[in-house]
Amino acid sequence: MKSAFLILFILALSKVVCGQNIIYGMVTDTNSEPLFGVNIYIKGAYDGASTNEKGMFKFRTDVSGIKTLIASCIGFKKHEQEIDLSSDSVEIKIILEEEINKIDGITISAGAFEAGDKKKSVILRTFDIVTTAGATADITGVMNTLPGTQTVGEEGRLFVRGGSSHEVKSFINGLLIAEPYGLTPQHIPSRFRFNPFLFKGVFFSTGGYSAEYGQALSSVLQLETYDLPARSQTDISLMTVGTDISQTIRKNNTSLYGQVQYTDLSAYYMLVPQKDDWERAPYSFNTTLHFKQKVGQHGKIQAYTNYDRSNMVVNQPFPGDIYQQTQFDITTHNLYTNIAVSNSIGESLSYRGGIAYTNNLNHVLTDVGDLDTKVNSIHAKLVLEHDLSENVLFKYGAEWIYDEYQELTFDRDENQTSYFNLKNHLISPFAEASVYFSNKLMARFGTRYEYNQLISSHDLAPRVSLAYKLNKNNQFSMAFGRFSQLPIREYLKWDSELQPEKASHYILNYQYTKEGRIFRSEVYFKKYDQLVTQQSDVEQYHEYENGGYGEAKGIEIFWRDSRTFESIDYWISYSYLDTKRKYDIFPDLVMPYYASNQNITIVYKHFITPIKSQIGWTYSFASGRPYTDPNTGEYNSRYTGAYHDLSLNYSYLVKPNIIIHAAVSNVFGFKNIFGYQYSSKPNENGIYESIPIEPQAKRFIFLGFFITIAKDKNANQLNNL
Amino acid sequence: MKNVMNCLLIVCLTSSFVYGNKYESAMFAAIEKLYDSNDIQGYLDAVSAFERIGEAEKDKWLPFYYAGLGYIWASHTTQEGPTVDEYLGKAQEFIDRASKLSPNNDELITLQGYIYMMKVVVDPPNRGPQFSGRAMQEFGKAVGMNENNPRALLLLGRMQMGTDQFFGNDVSQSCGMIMKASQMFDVQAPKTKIDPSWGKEMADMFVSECKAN
Repeated sequence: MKSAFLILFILALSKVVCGQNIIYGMVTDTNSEPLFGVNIYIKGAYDGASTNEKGMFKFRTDVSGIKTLIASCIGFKKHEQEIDLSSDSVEIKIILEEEINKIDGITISAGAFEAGDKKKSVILRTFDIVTTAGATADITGVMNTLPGTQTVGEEGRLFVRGGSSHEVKSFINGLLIAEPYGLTPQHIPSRFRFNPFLFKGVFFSTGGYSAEYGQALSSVLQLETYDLPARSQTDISLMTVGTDISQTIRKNNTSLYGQVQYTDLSAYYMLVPQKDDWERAPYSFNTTLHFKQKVGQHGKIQAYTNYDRSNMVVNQPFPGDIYQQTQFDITTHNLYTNIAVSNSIGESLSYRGGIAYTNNLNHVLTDVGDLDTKVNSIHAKLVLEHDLSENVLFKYGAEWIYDEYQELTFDRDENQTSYFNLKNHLISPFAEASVYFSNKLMARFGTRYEYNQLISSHDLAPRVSLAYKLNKNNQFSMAFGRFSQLPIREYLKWDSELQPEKASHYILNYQYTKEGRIFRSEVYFKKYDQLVTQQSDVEQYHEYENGGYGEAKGIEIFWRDSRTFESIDYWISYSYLDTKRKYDIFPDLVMPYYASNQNITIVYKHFITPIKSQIGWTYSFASGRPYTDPNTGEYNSRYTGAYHDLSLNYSYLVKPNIIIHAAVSNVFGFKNIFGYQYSSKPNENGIYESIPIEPQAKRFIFLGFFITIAKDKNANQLNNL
Repeated sequence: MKNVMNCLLIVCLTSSFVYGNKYESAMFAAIEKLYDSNDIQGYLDAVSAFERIGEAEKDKWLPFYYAGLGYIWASHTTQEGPTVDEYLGKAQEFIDRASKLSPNNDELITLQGYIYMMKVVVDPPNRGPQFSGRAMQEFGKAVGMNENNPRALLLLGRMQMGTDQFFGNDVSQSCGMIMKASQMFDVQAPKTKIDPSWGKEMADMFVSECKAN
C-alpha cells in the first residue's frame, strides 16, 4: 500500500518535474480585435494551438526553462517572444502587427487595366484575348471593348481618351514595338502584328501610368509572353483566311516555339464582294520564334522574333469622278526581335531589362508616285527594383531609344525624287518610389527625365498616384502625371526645331470588386499643350509650330460579372468623352475626326457544357464622329451617324484536340459610315463631291479548324492559356 | 530518498521514451485529426499542428505535405471562389516548401495536380482549358515516377473520366484506372503509419460512379 502510494506520488510529481506547463492567453490585432486561426507554438517543439474565434488559445507543453514562443498568422508579422516556463501556467497576451503586402495588397487602379491570371482583381482574363466576339483574335480589338477607347472603324488602331493613335505605345516584355501595326491603304483598317496566343498577360493603361513608361501622351499597352509551356506539341490551324502551323518544344528549363503563317484573302474576296476594286487581295507571310529559358529560382531569359511580309494592291475611287481611281500597291517587311532578361540578386534586389530591334520597310506604289520608307529602331532598357524596407519599394532605371527614319519619294508627274533622313537618340533615366503607409494606403512618386538628341530637348515628367482601400471590396485611387512625346516623323522631317508635345493627366478612380464581379468608374481630365500645328501657304510651304493645345475630359464606367448567371460571363463598358484640340491642320479648337462622345460595348460569353460550345456576342455603339464638309466652309462641323455592330462567335470542341471556331461581324448589317472623302476641287456647280468612307464589306465571316497534336491526346490550342 | 530520485529519473526517462519517436507520434496524432475532420476549424487546426511540427523539424517534408493537403481539403468546405483560391494558394505555399526538401517526390507531384484540379472547379469554362491539362500532366508524371502510387492513378483516372464524359467517349479505360487504383488501396499498406494513405474513400466513391454508368 505504501509503495503504491509512493508510485502515485512520484507519477504526480513527475508531471511537475518533467514539464506539462499550461500556456494560455489571447491574440489580437493592433485595434484589439481578436484574431482567429493564429498558430501559437514553442520554437523547436511541437506543442502549440491555434486561436479560436475569440482569439483565445490554451495548450500544454513538457518543455521547461526559457523558451521562444512564436505566434504566426498569414497577413501578420511573425511574433516571437521569450517566455519563462518554470511556473505551472503562463498567461500571455499577444498583439500582432499587420504585414504589408506589396504583391497582392493594394495596387493603383487609376487608368490601369490588367489581364492575366496572377492577380485577384483583373479586368480581363488571358482567355478573353482569344474568345471575345468582334475582336477576331486581335489584341487591339479586345482592348477596344474597354472604357477609354474610341471605335475608329477605318483605322483598326487604338485611340484613347481623345488622343490620336500615335499617342499609344506598345511593348512586349517591357520593350518597345516601334511599328506595331501594318501599313494599309487609306480607310482600310490595320491589324496588330503580333499573334495574341503568345501573350499571357496584358497591361493596358489609359492614363496616369508609371514613370517607367514615356514617349506616350495617352496610353501604354504592355504585353507579357508566356512562361514555359506545359508540353511539346504541334498546332495546325486551317482558316478561311489562311493556314498556320506551329511547333512547341519543351525541355526541362527551356522551351522553343516556332510558327509559320500564311494568310491570303483572295479566295474570300472572290466569294464576298468588297467595296473597293482589289487587284491583289491582302496576303502575308508571318513567322515567329520564341525561346524561353528559366534561370535559377526566379530568373528567365526570353528571346522573341517576329518577321512578316505583306502585299496588297487596291484601286480606290476618287470623289467627283467615277471613272478615276487611285491605285495603291503596298508591300511591307517588318522584323521585330527582342531579348528580355530578369532575375533577382539576393533577397531585396531584382533587375529586368533587355534590348529590342525593329526593322521596317514600306514600299508604296501609286499612280502619282512612289514612297519608300525605312525604320530602324533600337530600344534598350534596364530596371532595378529595390525593396528598401518593408514599406518602400524603389524602382529605378534608364532607357535608350534610337530611331532612324529614311524616306525616298518619287513624284511621277514632276519626275522628281526627294530623300529625307531623320535620326534621334532618346536617353531617359527614371526613378519611382512606392510607399506603403499601411495595407490600406499607398502612394507612388516618380519622375523621368527625357533628352532627345535630335531637337536637343530636356523634359522632366513627374508622376504621382495614390490608392486608398476603404475595405476589402472598395478602393479609391487617383493619379496625376506629366507626359511628353517627340513629334511624329511627318512633322520632324520638315522641322527639327520642334519641341516635344505635352500632356497632363488627372484621374480619379473608384473600384468595387467582389467574387467574380467588378465595377469601376473613372473621371479624368487631360490637358494638352505644345501640340504641333501645321500651316500651309499658297506655295504649299509648310510651317510647323508648337502652338497647339487641347483637352479631353470624361467619365467611364465598367461592369463585369461572371458570377450571377451560371456559365455566363459578360461585361459592359461605357465612355463619355468631351474633347477638342487645335493641332495639325485644325484651324481652330475642334473635336478631332477620330473622337466620338459616347462609346458603349457589351461583351457576352456563354459556355454551354452539354454541347461543348462557347457562344459569344459583342455589341458596340459609338456616337457620330465629326467630319469636314468643304461645302459648309467650316472645319469638322458635321457629324456622321452613330456606329452599331453586333458580332457573334461560336467555338465548338469537336474532340479534345480539335476546335472549330466561327465568327461573323455586324450580323444585322448595320450601315456604318466613318466619314466622307471630298473632291479637292468643286464641280461645275460649285459643289465638292463626296464618297462615304465605309467598311470594305458589311460583314466579315471567319471559319477555322484548330488541331493540336501532342503525346497527351487531350491537349488543344487553349491549353497554353 | 535516493530510491525516490531513481524512480523519478526512470519515470522521466520512460515518459520521454513513450513519446519515443516524438515526431512520429505527433505526426500520427495530427494525421488522425486531419482524417477525422470535416469542417473548416478541424482542417485548420490540423494544418496548424503540421505547421508547428514542420517548423521544428526543418528537414522533414511530410508535415508540409499534410499541411498542404489540409488546405486542399479545406477548400472543399466552401463554394466561394475567392476563398477556394485563397486556401489553394496556401496549400501551394506548403507544397512548394515540401518540394524544396524533397524534390521529384511523386506524392507531392500528385498534390500539385490536385491543386490544379480544384482550381478548375471554381470556374470550369475559363479555367478548364488551362488547369485540367496541367492537372492531368502532373498526375501522369507522378504515375510515371511510381506506378504503384494509388492516389496519382486514382486522380488521373477521375480527370480522364471527366474528359471522356464531356466528349461522350467510352469511360471503360478511365474506369479501369480507377478500379486498379482502388485495388491498390486494398493490397498496399503504407511503409510507416505516417506515410500518405488517404484516398480509399474517394476511390470507393469514384468506383460507384463508374458502376452507375
